[in-house]
Amino acid sequence: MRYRFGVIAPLLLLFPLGCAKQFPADYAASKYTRGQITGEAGEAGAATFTPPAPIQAKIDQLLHEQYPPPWAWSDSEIASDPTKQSLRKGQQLYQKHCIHCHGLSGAGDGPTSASLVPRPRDFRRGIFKWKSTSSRAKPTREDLLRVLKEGANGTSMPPFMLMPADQLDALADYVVYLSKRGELERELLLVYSQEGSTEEELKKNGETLSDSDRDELIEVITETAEEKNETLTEAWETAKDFVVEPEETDVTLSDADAFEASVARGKELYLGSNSGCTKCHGVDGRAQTKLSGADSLDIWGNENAPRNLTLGLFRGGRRPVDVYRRVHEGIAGSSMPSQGSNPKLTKKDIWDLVNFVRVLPDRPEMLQAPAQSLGGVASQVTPGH
Amino acid sequence: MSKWSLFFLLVPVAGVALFAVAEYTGWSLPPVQSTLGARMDHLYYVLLAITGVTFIFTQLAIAFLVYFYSKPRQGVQPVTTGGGALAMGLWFTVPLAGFALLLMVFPMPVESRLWMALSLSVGWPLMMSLLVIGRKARQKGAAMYMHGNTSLEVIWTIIPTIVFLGLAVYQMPLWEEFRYPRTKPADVMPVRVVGRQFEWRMVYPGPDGKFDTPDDLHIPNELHATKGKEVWVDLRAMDVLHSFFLPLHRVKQDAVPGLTIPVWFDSIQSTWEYQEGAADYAAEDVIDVTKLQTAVNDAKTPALAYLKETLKLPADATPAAVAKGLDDVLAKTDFYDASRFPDDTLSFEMRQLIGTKPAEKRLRLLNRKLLDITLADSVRPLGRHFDIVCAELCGWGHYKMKGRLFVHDTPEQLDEWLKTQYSLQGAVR
Ligand code: HEC
Ligand code: HEC
Ligand SMILES: [Cu+2]
Repeated sequence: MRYRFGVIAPLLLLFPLGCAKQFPADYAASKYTRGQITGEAGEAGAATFTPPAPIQAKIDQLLHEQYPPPWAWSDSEIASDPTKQSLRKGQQLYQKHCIHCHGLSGAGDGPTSASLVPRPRDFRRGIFKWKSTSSRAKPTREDLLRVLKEGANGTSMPPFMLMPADQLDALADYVVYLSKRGELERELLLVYSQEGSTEEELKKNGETLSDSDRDELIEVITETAEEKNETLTEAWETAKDFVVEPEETDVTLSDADAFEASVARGKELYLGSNSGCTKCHGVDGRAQTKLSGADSLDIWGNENAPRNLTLGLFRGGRRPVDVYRRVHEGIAGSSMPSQGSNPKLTKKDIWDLVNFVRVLPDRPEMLQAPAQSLGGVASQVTPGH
Repeated sequence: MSKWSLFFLLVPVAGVALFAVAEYTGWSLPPVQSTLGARMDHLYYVLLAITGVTFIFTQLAIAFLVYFYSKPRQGVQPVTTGGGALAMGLWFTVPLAGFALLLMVFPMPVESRLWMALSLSVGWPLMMSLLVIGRKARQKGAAMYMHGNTSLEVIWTIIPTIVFLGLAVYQMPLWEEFRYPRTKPADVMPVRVVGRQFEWRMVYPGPDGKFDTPDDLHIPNELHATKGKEVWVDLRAMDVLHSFFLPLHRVKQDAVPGLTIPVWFDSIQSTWEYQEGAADYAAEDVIDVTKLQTAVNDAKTPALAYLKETLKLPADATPAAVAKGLDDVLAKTDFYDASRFPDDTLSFEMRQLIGTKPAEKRLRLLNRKLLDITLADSVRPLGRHFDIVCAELCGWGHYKMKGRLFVHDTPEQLDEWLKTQYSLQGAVR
């Protein structure tokens, strides 16, 4: 008996120790392959692109200066700094509610992420899908808050509807912080990858990084960091200027007959060749043919199937204006193209498409349907698409 | 062994005591909020009374047997009749008195007390007498070896059967009313609740009154209702099994993919009525005095400037003192002021609350909510809500599947909310 106690007691002691997980000193350095950084198709299973130690150290240092981890700040340090306070608050909330999916540095690699389709967003690209702004612009603050409050219907991104406004604000700030940090890191690696080789590459070619080269590269990187930070800050601050606002006169929602006519036109447009929708979403709207090549992946390299439009799952929001923006701008980071820049479609055509797409889930028979047609939100059994 | 018997008696006593204190420590059922729920609670208390008394009886009987029938130790005389009489007298009275006391302090509904009192006053002396007779009989002769007793077995089968059947019949009307409601009021607002990993999606039919049209209103995690009016939910699930659970309304129903399950409930209180009673600050609600003091002293917003004027906290104020000071603000009629809280900074709910021209209690609540906003981070916001949770471990993010039922005071308020939502959801710009 006593012997057993002797074994169990130390084990019990280990419990609290095991739970008190220490935070790392800084965010983890991202593991990109060269292809992921440059955007060129890299070979599968390529090695992580790691610059030689002095360069990496400089990158780490620059990142740490611009985006220090809020958990490392001392209480006295943040006491008189509202920005830091807000970031700390955001980071703590993030740790509680988001980290298990979106990961410590916002790479979308939290422990839960492995089992999720679609994968949690990787903020480091600075690309967001569900926004009111044009395809290449950043989302506005309201956009981020909207995704936080409503979630992304049809994905595992949950709605945080009941969270108090001040907490949502802090979280949005922190998401931007992580995104800016990630983008800066990527830019610095990109600059280096254009000029220099990794440690292994150097070794393989029997080269070394000369002191003068090193100093020159460090200078380039330092300058880039400064510039990039400015452009990033500006991009986030000016996002509002890029909001896509449809013309009110193009909408036909109030009058039932006009609306039905619009839906009918939308159907023709959808099936026609000017819009090209059927190429991905299929003539039955169910997106059953698998795309191949680059079309089947999103910019993060994850599987990105076109939506089954009969399910009524609008990840980016189901308001008419949301769907309008999806069709008008396309979906950033995915293969879904912008129709706003399609010369064959007018704005009115886009509204017709939107009206059609919005009623389709409730009238799946509008498109030639296979055997069963289940309408409504609850009959959807495949949340993955 | 006889002393050990008392030790083992402690376990059931502790169990019973736990139930008794539970009513005060908040471990018991939370305050019920629906009419059916009140009747379910009644059932619960009847069951608790029956099982409780049976439990107490059997435990005491066992202890009694062990105490008086234990084998005398070497050289110690078995309990004599004289000493036995005193001990026996105590056995009769002390537990009875204890339970009478318990019955008095245990805040159960009256009917459960009656049940308990009745079964105790009849059952306890009866059973003890039987045990004493048995003991007398034993003292006369040697112990008896008995292998089964058919009549006894019949008795202990029939009595529980009767009790269970009685309960089954007794609860039937309630079950029927919940499960097979006959009269659906004409004016109920239908709502579809769809469980999905990891949200409750509330779907209203929209202005056209029909489901499955593009104007359907989808609200994640927030269900709205009116006080005193029934809510009829069509419960569905989109991916896996979920369980729709409203603890305060005593509603729990699995949501099954492919099925539409009707669930209905009503609300005795509106959300604000439920919150009114808890508007005051307690010392625990003040989570960061330093932060609060700094914010108030800096007076960066008009509301904080007002607090700087009125609160006048000493530099070393304790959380209790701060709570006291804040409570004084709660009682003030002039804390809300459009210049301190411009309309566009306030949520729809807050604007509605202000619009109800609060009575005194309501005013405290309004002030509390405004203070919570003003002093976010340093005080704990009023956390009383009608929660909706998922009572099924449905996946990794299960604990995020939390919603809220908001119960309006009047149908007009609900309509106003719906209209606002319709216009938001129909947004074309
Ligand atoms: C259960 C996993 C999970 C949790 C928890 C979670 N997310 Fe997400 N999140 C996702 C997934 C999956 C997506 C991608 C959705 C898509 O691709 O449509 C996403 C997307 C996002 C986006 C990008 C939206 C866009 O426009 O591209 C933001 C911002 C975001 N989440 C923030 C958060 C924040 C902040 C939290 C914590 C409060 C959080 N998420 C918690 C899974 C999660
Ligand atoms: C090259 C392929 C492609 C074409 C062409 C295309 N889409 Fe898509 N569409 C996609 C993909 C991929 C997604 C899913 C994107 C995601 O969730 O990341 C999508 C998603 C959508 C969504 C869902 C948006 C949301 O909020 O969830 C709608 C609606 C949609 N497409 C409509 C259309 C319409 C209308 C057209 C024709 C004008 C069209 N698509 C043409 C690939 C395409
Ligand atoms: Cu669930």
